[in-house]
Amino acid sequence: MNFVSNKAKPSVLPGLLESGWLMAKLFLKVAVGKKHLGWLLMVLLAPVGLTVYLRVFRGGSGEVLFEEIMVNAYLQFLCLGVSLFWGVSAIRDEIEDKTIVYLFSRPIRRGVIFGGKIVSVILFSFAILSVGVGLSYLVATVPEGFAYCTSKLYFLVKALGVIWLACMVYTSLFGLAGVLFRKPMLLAMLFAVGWEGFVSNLSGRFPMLTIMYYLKSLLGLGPDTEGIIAVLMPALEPAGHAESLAVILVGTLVFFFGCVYLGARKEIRV
Amino acid sequence: MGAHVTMNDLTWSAQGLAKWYGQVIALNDVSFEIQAPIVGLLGPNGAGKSSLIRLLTGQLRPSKGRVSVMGQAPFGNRMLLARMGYCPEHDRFYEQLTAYQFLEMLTRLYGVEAAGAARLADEALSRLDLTKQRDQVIFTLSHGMRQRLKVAQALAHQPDWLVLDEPFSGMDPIGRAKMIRLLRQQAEGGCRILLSSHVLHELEAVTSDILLLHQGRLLAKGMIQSIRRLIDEHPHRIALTAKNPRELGRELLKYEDVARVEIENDSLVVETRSPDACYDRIGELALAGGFQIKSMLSLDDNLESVFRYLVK
Repeated sequence: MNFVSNKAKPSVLPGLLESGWLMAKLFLKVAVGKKHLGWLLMVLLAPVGLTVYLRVFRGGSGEVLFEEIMVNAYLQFLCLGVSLFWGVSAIRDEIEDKTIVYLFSRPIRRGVIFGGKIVSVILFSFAILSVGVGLSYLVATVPEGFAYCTSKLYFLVKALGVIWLACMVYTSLFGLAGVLFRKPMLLAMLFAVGWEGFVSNLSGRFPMLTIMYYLKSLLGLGPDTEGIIAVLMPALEPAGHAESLAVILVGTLVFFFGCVYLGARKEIRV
Repeated sequence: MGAHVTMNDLTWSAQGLAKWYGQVIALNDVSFEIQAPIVGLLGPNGAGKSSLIRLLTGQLRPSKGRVSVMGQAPFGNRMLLARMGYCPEHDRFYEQLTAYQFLEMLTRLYGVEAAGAARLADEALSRLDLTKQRDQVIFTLSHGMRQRLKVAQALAHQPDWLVLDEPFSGMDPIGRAKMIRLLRQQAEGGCRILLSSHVLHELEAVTSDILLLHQGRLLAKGMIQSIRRLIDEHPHRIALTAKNPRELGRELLKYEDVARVEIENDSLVVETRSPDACYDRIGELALAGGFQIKSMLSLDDNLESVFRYLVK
């Protein structure tokens, strides 16, 4: 005898894309409502204010100014910070708030829960950062004329490409840290500041061990080495574009699928 | 969809089930097979109820042994999870969402299309008396409303199995009565329910089939009456307050079933091996008026004392 329910039932289990999309929607609904979003938006727009200030009081070439803001404010600071903050918290907050049980009790693959969250963070971080980068570009180049602004557009596109790659690789890495460790924030901050911030600017071959070195190489920039050490040990030349792209993409894949794989298999006690 | 399973498959079962977290043993060698419309999981705090529920709902994997729902292991079993509703114990939500958004979103994750999820979310809100709070942000809801919302998310998609961890917690008596009625209706509609509580009378109101857990072990299984009988075989304690407690104690000690009487100020505690006869006798003595009995309380309604008896 078969036990057959006569009630209305979902006809199919949610698919991979549908589950991923719902995860992204959930993340956006929850993240947008978070109290710290306003504060974060202010921080993200601060480089635009800095660009205005430098444009007015220091002058110089619009291209140089944009590159300076792009590397120092966006790539080395905000991109890293936003990926760290949301990459870790998108996963860790669900576990610590114990809301993840609502997701684990649904018929969706556990890997999709983690993968969907990481993809949403990448898209969301990139969307917010690209608005700031675009505004900074306009502030830096428009005063030199519309023709100048359009002639340098390739640099904006390249900058946005690097921001996109940085969001992908860092968010996947910090997402993995969120799955692996119970208290990942301190460790992630040490990595961001100590490793990516400090080691990437050391003399010698140390920067090759950082992700930032390859990201900066895509912009044609090498480690920012200064002082006596720079005299003793010459700074590394930027890596080739193909090598940089390969390292970043392989890194992203390893971190992303590591997070999805471990998230699906690891027993998470809440 | 749906894996058809035979009626011979017992709804809830475990064989040699153990779960430990590091050095802490939450469940130890638990075995049972139970099939009833509503099953109560009874035990004091820390008994292992929530761990067992998390194992049955596929949140956790057994450290040892087997756990199954309708003959299937629940961990990572999407077909099973699609037909199950789970209400967790803790009071945690996506606080920024409205009650409707919360239900609609979680119902969609069962594979229900947008329009269907919207309808089911509204129906669930209505069944749990939350229609007025539909567009209210969750963090503004009262504790009782949050508790009902948690139950609503578990039954919105009309599951075949419903697992509720302490569903009555924080509810007022009216809310509790409504919840009991709702659970009975669900069971009458063919839904198999497993719910936990540490309060015996809460479970007695909805089911007579229980699993009794204590310190990670299964102490008893079956009809609540047989567990009551088991309890009644052990001395039962009744607390009384009366104007003349010493005389009342002396009178009660004349009967064979009264093992002991403790007196303190105007109160006394009677220990009896035949609670029903003793209650009748106390009632007669109260009616006679000589001892002016002011109050009577069964101390053995306290689960802890029940467990003390059963683990001896």
